[in-house]
Amino acid sequence: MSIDALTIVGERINPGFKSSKALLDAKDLDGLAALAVDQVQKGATYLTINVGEHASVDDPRFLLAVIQAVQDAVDVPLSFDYPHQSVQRLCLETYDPAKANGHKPIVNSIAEARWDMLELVGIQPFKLVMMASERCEGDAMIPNRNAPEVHQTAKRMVSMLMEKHDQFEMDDMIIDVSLASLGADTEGLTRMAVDSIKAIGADRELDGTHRLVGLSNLSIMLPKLATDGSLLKVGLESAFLTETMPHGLDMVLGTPGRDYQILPDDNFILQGFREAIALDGFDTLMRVQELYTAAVL
Amino acid sequence: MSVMEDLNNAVITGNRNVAVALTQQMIDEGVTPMDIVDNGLVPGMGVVGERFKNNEIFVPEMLIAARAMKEAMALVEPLLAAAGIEPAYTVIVGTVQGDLHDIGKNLVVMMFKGANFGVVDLGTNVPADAFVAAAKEYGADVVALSALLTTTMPSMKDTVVAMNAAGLDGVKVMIGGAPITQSFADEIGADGYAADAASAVDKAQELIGAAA
Repeated sequence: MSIDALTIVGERINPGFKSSKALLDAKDLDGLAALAVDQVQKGATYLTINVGEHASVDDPRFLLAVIQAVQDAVDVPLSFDYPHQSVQRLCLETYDPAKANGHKPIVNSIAEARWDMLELVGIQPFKLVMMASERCEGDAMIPNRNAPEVHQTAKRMVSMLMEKHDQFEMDDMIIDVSLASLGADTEGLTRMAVDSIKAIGADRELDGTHRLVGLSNLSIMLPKLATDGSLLKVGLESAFLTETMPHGLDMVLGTPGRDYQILPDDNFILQGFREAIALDGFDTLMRVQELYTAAVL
Repeated sequence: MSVMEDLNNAVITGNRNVAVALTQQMIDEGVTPMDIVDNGLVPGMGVVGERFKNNEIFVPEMLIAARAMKEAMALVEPLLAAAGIEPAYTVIVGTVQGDLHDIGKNLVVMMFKGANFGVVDLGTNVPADAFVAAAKEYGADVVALSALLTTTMPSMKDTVVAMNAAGLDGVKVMIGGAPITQSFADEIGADGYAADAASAVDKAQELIGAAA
């Protein structure tokens, strides 16, 4: 397994990052275009476009200007991160596949409770991120809490698309199993993500679909350095990739240029990661704590 | 070191066994439950919040400290209730409609409990009218809204509008979550914004004029 098999959707054009938020608030199109170029140079295959609170349907000029500025600067396809059909419609009407070597954009996302994006297929063909982390029961959205639930949700969504929307090929379907913060994971959610990828990877009916996580979520709110002197965040993210890429994880929303690696078995952080996610409740957190030093007293 | 200082340190280090044992010891020795809360538990969580804000400790330390605090509080709460003592302030906390994310919201809940607020946790995917109903039912001083998705931020505005329409403009509404900013809070007419769970308690105390 080589890390090169990983498709990175560059995540930085997103107000969740402070430096990006400053560019968005200042409506700095040149700065955003430079951020796009930087991510592509560092290996991004797609770029997320998330302008946050500036994604106004009433006044879409800024959103559309960002899409155009990024497409003028780079030739990779874009991924639009909005659950509202009205905003996605604007994005799809603006995106020009000819500027991305003919590649389709990604619509991120649909969920079992939100199928309305499919009404947009007439605008232009696209790939779809399908959220498998929540399911629909009656009118209620319910978060999935174990790997079989995530796997079954993914399966239902894929078969629904195959039956009713045959313009989507398996290659257009990107299953997002959802990844939470390991530092706050007292509910086994990281283990759920790993096991979900394994279950989906072992299901031959889902062959040909892609599997994605928001990788940076894993390490948020944890310190920079591990006690062995290595970088903790990228180490944990690499540990997750090491455990899941052999089982079919092939895409991440992430920060291009981070030194993601497949880690050897004796790696300090990989060992901690494996042991932490095998534990339950606060024992997980206490195993994570052994990876770094905090100024507790 | 006094027993009270030891209890503070047990909360700060998240040593729940020591925190529970010291709390029980003080109860047995006749220390009043309010004294234990105000001088043994709340200051400990205050230190935890400060260190978290300063990046000296991280989420695992904060959660483990909050657990120690919670288990010690469980010994004191029945005594407070028997004495008819209620927390001075009540906060309603929830993640807004359309959003199922609860990690940040749960941290906020724990920090409010650590500051001895009465906390009503409405969970995730909470509609505007549920915030209004809870604010009325519990006589809330503060309603705290969480959102992780940029796309559920409009639900925060809906909640502010519903609170005002229900005549609850005296209840302070504060918002937070990864995509949230002070300018967004200003735009939707929220009373306050906090960047993290520890700051949320400071902001709430500032909004209602409570002593920190």
